Amino acid sequence: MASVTMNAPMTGRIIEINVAEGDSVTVGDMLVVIESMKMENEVFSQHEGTLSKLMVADDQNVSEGDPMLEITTD
Amino acid sequence: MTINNLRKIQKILVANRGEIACRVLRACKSLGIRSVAVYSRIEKSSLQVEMADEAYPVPEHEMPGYGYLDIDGLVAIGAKAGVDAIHPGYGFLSENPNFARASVEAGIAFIGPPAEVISSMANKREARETLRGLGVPVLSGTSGSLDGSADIEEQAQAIGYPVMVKASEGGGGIGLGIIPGPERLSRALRRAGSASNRAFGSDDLYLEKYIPDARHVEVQVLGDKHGNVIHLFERECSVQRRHQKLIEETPAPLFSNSQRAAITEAALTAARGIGYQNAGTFEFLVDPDGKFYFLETNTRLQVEHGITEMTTGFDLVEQQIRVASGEPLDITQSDIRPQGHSLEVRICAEDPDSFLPSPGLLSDWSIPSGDGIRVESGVRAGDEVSSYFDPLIAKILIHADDRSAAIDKMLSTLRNARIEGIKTNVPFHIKALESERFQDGSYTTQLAAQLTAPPS
Repeated sequence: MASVTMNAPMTGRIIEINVAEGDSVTVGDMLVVIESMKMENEVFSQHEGTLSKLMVADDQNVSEGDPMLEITTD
Repeated sequence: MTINNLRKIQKILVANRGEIACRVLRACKSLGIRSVAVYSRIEKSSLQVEMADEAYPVPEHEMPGYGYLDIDGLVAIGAKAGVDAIHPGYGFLSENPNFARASVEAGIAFIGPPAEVISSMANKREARETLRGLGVPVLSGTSGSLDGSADIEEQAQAIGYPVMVKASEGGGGIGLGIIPGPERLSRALRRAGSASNRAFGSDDLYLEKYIPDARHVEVQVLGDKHGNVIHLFERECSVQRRHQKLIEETPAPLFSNSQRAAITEAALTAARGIGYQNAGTFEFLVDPDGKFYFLETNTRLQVEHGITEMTTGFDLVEQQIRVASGEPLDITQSDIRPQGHSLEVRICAEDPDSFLPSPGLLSDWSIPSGDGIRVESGVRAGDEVSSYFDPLIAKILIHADDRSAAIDKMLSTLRNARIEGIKTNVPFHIKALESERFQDGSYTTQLAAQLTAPPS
């Protein structure tokens, strides 16, 4: 089993998390919303698999490139 | 330029930040009015602080931007500093009737319309109904609150897809969503509701017919406390991404004199009907057949007010201050005779293709200056562009004898601008201004998407 890490695409603040550890995700699922520069940016999954690790929490500040979550692909 | 008869307003609090705070601070300086700036903890050495006669920190908050939304805190700063008036700028509290009311109750003039006028236009769903009642055309849409309404699907069908969901208390493109068909309705309503709730503390939404290939044209008005209202013609604002404007120009290209007469008359009818005072804007959508429909009222100074100043020769911030001090307008409608063509681009800290935010250190910042070039900036080289605030860092405005000269001058200004350290949308602006649709004036609100779509 391989796993991929999804990093924050921009500096900002996590304002919504749509998934929990153990959830199965598919390509195009909206995972988190990051607010940056007064914009809400939806981050979508580019992978299919299981969300094995969630490394961010609501209201957390993230920098571009920070790991946000890990998806185990089958 | 000095005004001797502004007895009542001698000191102004600018309750905003960035380029618009700097714009208003400059007006204060040229009018001989003392100025007070505010700043958050990450802006102690910002340009607005440097330009003002005095500066005070906004109330401390974990999120630096929230201090600019603290009505009581800002009014208290104004009282402490002994100001005669508060200028709200745009965004933040500029269209909040409670801020206008609290200022006035503290004995401080609010540079904007009275609280009840702001209130009458604050809910966009209700504003549509009010203007429809005044005989101004509006798009078909829902009139009552959607909350708990069981037949939303039927209402959307009745309007006819595509429809747009909008936040009634919204602004700045937040809480807007295009709904191509019924299968997307519930998800779009959910997203719009949660975005609106976060940004505006309300999930009041409405649906409106969506016209993809439309143009966005707005009319600047100015009214005083004595019942005089004039218009300062239109601005074309169709180049948008995420429903936020990027490029504006005046006069609107390919707009006939009869269209111009009709749309400005509609704006005056609306302004008189609601008792409008101070500077404001009525926004309209123009469909492919040239018919126009009221969208919303901006009861404040617009980001793009400067292009109107360049063609008409009138300083709108100065007019706002005069009106707020109780002076009758000394301009009549026949004094408004626009000359030449004016164009504005908004410089935003964002990727020019994806439009994703690009905060960071602005290591170099130099925009050419010259005759007919006006730069409204809130930044200097070495400033940190923060992810806590809007990406708009500056505006470049051009005035020239005609449209094509204005476009050429803007292009050469943009090509010679030196901006380093962060990504900006300058490459997008160059691409847009060079595009055939922009050059021939036939562009619509689809232009930004057409220019940034991946090649198929």
